[in-house]
Amino acid sequence: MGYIGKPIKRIEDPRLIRGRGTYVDDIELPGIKFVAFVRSTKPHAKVRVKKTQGVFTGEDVNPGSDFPIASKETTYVGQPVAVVLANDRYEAYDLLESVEVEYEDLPYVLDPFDAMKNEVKVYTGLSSNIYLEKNFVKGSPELAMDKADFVLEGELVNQRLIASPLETRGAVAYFDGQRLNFWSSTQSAHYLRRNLVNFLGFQNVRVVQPDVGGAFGSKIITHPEEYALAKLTMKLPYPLKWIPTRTEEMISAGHGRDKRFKFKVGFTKEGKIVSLIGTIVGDLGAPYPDANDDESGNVLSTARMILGPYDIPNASIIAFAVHTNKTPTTSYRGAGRPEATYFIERIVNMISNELKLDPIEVRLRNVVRPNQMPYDNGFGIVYDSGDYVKILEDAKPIYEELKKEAGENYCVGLAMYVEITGFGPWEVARVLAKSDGKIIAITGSGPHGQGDGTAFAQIVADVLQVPIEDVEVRWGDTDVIEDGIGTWGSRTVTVGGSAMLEASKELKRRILESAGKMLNADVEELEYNDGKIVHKVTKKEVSLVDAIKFAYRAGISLDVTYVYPVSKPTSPYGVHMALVKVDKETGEVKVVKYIGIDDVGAVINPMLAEGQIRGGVMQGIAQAIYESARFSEEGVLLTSNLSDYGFPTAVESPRIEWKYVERGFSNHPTKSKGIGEAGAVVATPVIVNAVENCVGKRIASMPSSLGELV
Amino acid sequence: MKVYEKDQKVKIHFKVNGQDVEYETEPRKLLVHALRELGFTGVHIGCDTSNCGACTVIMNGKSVKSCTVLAVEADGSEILTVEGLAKDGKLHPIQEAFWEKHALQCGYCTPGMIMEAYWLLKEKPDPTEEEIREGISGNLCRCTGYQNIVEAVKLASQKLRLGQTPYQRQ
Ligand code: FES
Ligand code: FES
Repeated sequence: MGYIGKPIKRIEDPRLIRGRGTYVDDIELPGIKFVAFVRSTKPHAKVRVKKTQGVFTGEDVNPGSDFPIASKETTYVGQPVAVVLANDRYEAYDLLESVEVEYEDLPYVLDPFDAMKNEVKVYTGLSSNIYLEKNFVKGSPELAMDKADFVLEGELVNQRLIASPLETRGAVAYFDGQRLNFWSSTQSAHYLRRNLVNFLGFQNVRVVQPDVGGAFGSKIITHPEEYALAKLTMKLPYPLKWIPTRTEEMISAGHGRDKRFKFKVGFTKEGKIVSLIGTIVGDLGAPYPDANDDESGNVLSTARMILGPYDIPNASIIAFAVHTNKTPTTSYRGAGRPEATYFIERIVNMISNELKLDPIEVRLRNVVRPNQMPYDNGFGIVYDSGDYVKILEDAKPIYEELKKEAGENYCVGLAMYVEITGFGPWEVARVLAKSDGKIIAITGSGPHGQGDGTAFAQIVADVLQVPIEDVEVRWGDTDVIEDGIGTWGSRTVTVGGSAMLEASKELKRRILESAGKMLNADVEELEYNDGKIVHKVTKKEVSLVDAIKFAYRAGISLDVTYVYPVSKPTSPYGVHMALVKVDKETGEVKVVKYIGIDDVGAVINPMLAEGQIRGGVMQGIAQAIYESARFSEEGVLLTSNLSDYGFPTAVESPRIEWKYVERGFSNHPTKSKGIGEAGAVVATPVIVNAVENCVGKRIASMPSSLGELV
Repeated sequence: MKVYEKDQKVKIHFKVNGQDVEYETEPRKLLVHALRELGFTGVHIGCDTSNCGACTVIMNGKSVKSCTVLAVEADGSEILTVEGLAKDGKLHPIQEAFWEKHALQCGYCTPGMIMEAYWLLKEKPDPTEEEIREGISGNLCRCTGYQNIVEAVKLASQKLRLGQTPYQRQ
């Protein structure tokens, strides 16, 4: 026992390495029909769809409205405008070609700065293209700017990306006359259920999240197609399946980031930042409420986290979330925090180059001191614990080593981050013991690759002192647990795990109570030891299994549900570095070595945590040098397949070394902080800083394209 | 020469994981859909442009992207999918190595990745890191960042060369 903190192999793997997983497209039901969507080819137009056999329109799904399915007016290329139904996917896509759609072009706007002028409305129903505007101020930024030794101005672009999980979205829906059964490739069965209940005005909904082939934020919201599928199956006498093609997926889902920052920063000749003034503009794309609600929160996260781990006394930031006639943006791994980290870390790198001051030294002069913890950053975020000075000191020798290794055409870069993870409002865990002794742990969150199932098994096994093999972990079915929030915001192990820990403790207490009845003793006289319960004085003992069996006869329920409420997020932090090779002839950038040090509080499973870092870092690197969602002037996505988009292979990916320190613990029972997004948050500026240090000119946009560097 | 009409169904015979299979299909149907309909749902679809390799199977000894083969073209062939790797419930060393090295997260690329590794290690029993990365460059993974997959292939190559398949919890 003592599984927590160990690199325990995943309990999820045996099925998946045998090809025995069940992803949504693996689900078949008798008589199932295949559904496909006709998608708008125009960024903004009036639409009329000719209704024929097997064709449904927005009027069937959301009469009188253009969301989720456009009835009269479409606002982005890729928006569903009609639905077809056929016996299989081949026939469905045949049918798609025969659907007649008439478009009447309307003026459109693709650039958010243009959109802010409100000369062209993204949607005729909008009073303004500006969805949200919020001002954050601390200290006296203008005054401090005037007094600064140096002022630097610029604009940074954090480009639009596409999450691109290897499995697209997809769903199966079946109304049995009484109840809607809904399987979806989603990040949370419970959250999806609540959305469907709201949309349909009907509560008998069961949602199942089967195996999910990744998401990275793209499957949090309920997508237009999911609402449509639910609505149609309620009217039709057969089950429906919807699985988009990759091209459809790329034009219509998973778009994220897409923020710009116009800034002015004032600093002293010692490199102390005294003032930061700027405007953040986030591109929300078209007005699809579910997406806008998600992404506008991320724009606020960017603003709130823009000061990074630094104690910047004066700052003023205006954040705008703006509509354009493009695919609605949603969360993508990091959800607003990568942009914040990118902006501030790029600025700090510029200051370091400007003053010819070592990048670690600049950061040391600005970071929040350990005695300032917990630190309120003035924009509504409290960093709870940690030692930012120490981790920079840890990084120093590694950084020096990398610099020594760097020959001609090699450059070294570094970035630091602080994150917010472990969001509320609550999470649920249910731990129960069957009458044969079997332990089952169910979480209200919805893992889809992160391996939280194993971490939960570690936690439950440690509390109950049983072999990990005896704990079965389940999730993703609204029928098997009271409720749940979901897996996002790097919250699952910490928040879901804390619920699991508390539920297990209560189960243990009840098992003790049962043993007490068996031994005619008070619970205080008993000791729980290695899966046995022993009387402290008489040394009489009962096995765990016997105590469990007896509980049923004694009328003690061994089915515990624990709702764990959360009030504040918790803040991990770290320093990452890379050695990068830039070919000055071709402009090709290659990451040769990458090293990260993080403090994410208590590490429940270092092997899984490292896996999260490696995956996240690779996505961050990909943003820096490979990936970008680009649109034509006609509002058509130019990067609508995996080769054009720049999705990296094993050849482009470097070795990523990871170290962790455990200094700043969270206040949660697990003492952990989230790590799911950290890699993607920090890696992008690490790489761009390295390239900038090497080519000797400021880099304003990504990916660091060949032409720009040469 | 046999000529088939557009909507005419064609009967094909092939071997999947050692079993004879008869399958009736339209000529336009892709092998990946045929295999999945036959119950080999470990064969996945990750794209529509032959980039991702999630659909990789071994066909007549070669790794192929089954989304880019028509089912009728597979008539008479022998196919191995991930479902056919474990023998008598015992994992293949590549599967073991993926488990040991944490080479999968969501598991969606995993069957294709494992089949590509299977083919690679047949071609090159002792590949260098570079050869492994090159060898799996037709297989995309969004979760792992690839490094643990490279480690797993290395470990599998050792296991296979030593003929060792240590006991694993099944
Ligand atoms: S499904 Fe992507 S290559 Fe075959
Ligand atoms: S493990 Fe998720 S795509 Fe590879």
